[in-house]
Amino acid sequence: MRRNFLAMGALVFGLAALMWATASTSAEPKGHDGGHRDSHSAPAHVGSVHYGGRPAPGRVDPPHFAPVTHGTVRSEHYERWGGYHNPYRDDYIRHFRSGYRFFILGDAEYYGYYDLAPDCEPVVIGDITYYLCDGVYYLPYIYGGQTVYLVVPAPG
Amino acid sequence: MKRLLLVTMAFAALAILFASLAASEPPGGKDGKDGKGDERASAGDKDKDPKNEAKIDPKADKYLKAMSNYLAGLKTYSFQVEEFFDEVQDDGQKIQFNNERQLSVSRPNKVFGENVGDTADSLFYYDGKTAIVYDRKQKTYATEKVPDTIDAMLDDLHDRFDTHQTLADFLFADPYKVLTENVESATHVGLSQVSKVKCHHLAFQQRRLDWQIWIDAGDKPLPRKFLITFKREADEPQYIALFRHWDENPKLTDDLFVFKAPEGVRKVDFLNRHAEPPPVKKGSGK
Repeated sequence: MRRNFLAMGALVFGLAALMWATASTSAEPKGHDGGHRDSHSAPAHVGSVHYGGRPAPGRVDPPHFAPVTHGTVRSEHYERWGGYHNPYRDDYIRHFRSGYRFFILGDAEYYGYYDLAPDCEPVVIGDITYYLCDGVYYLPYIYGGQTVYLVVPAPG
Repeated sequence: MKRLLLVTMAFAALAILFASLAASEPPGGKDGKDGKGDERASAGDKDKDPKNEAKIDPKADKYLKAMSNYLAGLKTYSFQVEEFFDEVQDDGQKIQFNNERQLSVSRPNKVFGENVGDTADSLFYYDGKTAIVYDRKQKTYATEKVPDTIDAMLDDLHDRFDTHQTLADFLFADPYKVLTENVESATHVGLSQVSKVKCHHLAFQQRRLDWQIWIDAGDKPLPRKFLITFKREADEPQYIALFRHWDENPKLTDDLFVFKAPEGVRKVDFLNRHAEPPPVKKGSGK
């Protein structure tokens, strides 16, 4: 009997530990390669006490929403764990070249690069000039004081 | 036997409670080390004025105030800095980058900035109406209508686009107010040398970051060195600025603050920080 109680205690403890471990890993959002996400919370290059000491960008409830021109590839935010789900994960992201960055804006995250691959070609569709590299479309924006090329869905 | 049962049940209850607490903890842990789980705590602290509990060394306050008042009294000024900052890699290794930065200010509503180095080749223009970031390397620029004072423009760009002017603390009309708004402690470390200039070395603590400043101990209390430690970030990266040159009465013409787009550059949008793009059809990214 005593052994049964001990076994039951160990089982419950094991389950609890498993719950804790699962919670920890689920709460940590990861890139598709499981790699480190680019921190835009307060990178050291902010170089300002006033702005560096503020809450992390993108985690503030925005006073209003304003559209990004021409929808970008975004991941939906999982409210519970603070993680993200990207609907393009299986059929588009796999073409991303390495070195992409996460940009957390509003309640979603976006993917982009600080420069384009050398073999990118400008493609004009409608009145918009995209950059096309290895099947992935990009649009440039200025963000944080420099150009970022955000991944956008294939136009049309 | 009953006792054993009770002990086992208590043990199990504690384990479950522990697991539940862990599961409900926001991402990033209690201290929001990654800067993400930090929000809630910060919002909760809104009513708590750090100054009420701040441990301020009067000497530190005196020298910081002197520097701030001196800067606030300048109508036009420019300065050059060499800046260094850490980027923490996936494996925790810190890589340091550096840029040369120049800022020219004409109060109350003109700023020109140039930033060249490892991570940037860009220019910043503000003429009292419009702010422009020109990325010389990528040949792109973005322009936006902004408020008509430096203070309001800086906050507007930051709030809407996450585009901040590095070293903005030294551009505001009241640097003292901006620098001390979240200070929890201030210390006068002592006299120190920065490039052969004798300086008052001051150290400050805030909730999210620590910072230090070296202020010229001579007639002109100008900042000579500035260091920020982002202690809530993983591996605590630092930003360091060495002020190489100060000009307190430069001749700044209006042309300096007006951007003329060179041929072949592309106009793009600022990326809105509160982005909510229109919904896209699932699978259209193929």
